[in-house]
Amino acid sequence: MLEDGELARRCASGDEEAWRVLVGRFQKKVWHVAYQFTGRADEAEELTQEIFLHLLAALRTFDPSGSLPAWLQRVARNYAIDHYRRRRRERSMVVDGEESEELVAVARDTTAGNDPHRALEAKDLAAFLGRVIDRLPSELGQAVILRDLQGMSYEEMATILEIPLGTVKSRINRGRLELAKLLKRRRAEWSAVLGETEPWNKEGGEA
Amino acid sequence: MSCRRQQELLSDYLEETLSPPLRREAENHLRTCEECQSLVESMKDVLSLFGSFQAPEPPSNLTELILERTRPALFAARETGADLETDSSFWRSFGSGLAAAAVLATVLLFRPPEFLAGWSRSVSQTAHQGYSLGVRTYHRTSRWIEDLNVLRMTVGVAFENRLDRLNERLRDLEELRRRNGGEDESSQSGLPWERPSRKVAGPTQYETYRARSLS
Repeated sequence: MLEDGELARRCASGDEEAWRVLVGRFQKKVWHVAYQFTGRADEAEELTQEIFLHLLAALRTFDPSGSLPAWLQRVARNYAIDHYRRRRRERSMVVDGEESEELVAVARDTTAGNDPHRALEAKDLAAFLGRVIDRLPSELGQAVILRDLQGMSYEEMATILEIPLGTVKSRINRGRLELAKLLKRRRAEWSAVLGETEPWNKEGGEA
Repeated sequence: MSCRRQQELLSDYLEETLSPPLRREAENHLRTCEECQSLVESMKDVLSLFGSFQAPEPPSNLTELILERTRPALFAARETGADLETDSSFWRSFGSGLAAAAVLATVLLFRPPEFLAGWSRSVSQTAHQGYSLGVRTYHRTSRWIEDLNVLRMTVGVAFENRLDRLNERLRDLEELRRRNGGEDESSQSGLPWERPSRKVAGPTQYETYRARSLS
């Protein structure tokens, strides 16, 4: 097995075999980063390819005395953050209506259990969460993603975003608070709907 | 404790990082405030949803998609990388500088984009000086094929709107100019296309642009 420094050097000089090894070794990690920042499989697929294109160009700057996985993770994450900001600017022009289908499926599998009432609610809430996080102010959205999906520490975030620690904490709290308020309101709406009908008992119902 | 203060501390409260006195205050407030208590529950749900979040498996053809997408860049790296590896750092800088200067000259020749308008003059001078330096060195070597390879790669990169790569080339060019600054100013080569170096106090427009673009 190729040592990381040698692998990076060979990839940077265009060695196809080495590049195939590197892609195979790290594509899943990069995919996860991409998915966490996009919440959609099609966008994550595109972003993963862009990240690898960027990594290939950046490999010349890799210091062989450092850790290649950590370096790749950092470069991929930084690229995803930039992409997230760009996308947010573009999306401010786009109408509502898109849902994160994968978030819906994940929520159904992981939080609902066998209770149809909870399944319906969890599905709706997860879809709702996927939508609203995309509509938070970008600095709050990225703070929540980095902390709650990427699992970064406050200190790491302060470094990567180049903002003080207090600002990091404040952004995370404000982002979560916005989501919590929206979730609470959504729940109230659902309660009202469920009080009137029980969709999972209706024949030919949407559920 | 006010509701506003309570909400500012909500994440710290749930992550249990509040100091004991503040935690007691928060708990006292929550006992009497239904609104804040309900927000705590909602935030717990948000964190729980995030906690259970898992990205799905990547598509089975992802490797092939990535390899296909990166093939031209890999080819370009192979074409230029091996040659550059054996070059001295001077040659690497020279190649990059020459290519960047040529690309910039091309871009400025055809209706420069709006964002270039402000600094086109200083960039033109930079490009011209880079070109002059390249020509002087070119007369000392016959390795023009390598330079053309670098140029080809950089033109390809520029047409893909890869301004970040272009910036790298510009950095190389600037470094090269700095290193050769003494020579440029002290020696008069007498080449007809060479102009004297511009001497301006303070940052040039180009430097200001670069600082802004890198920030």
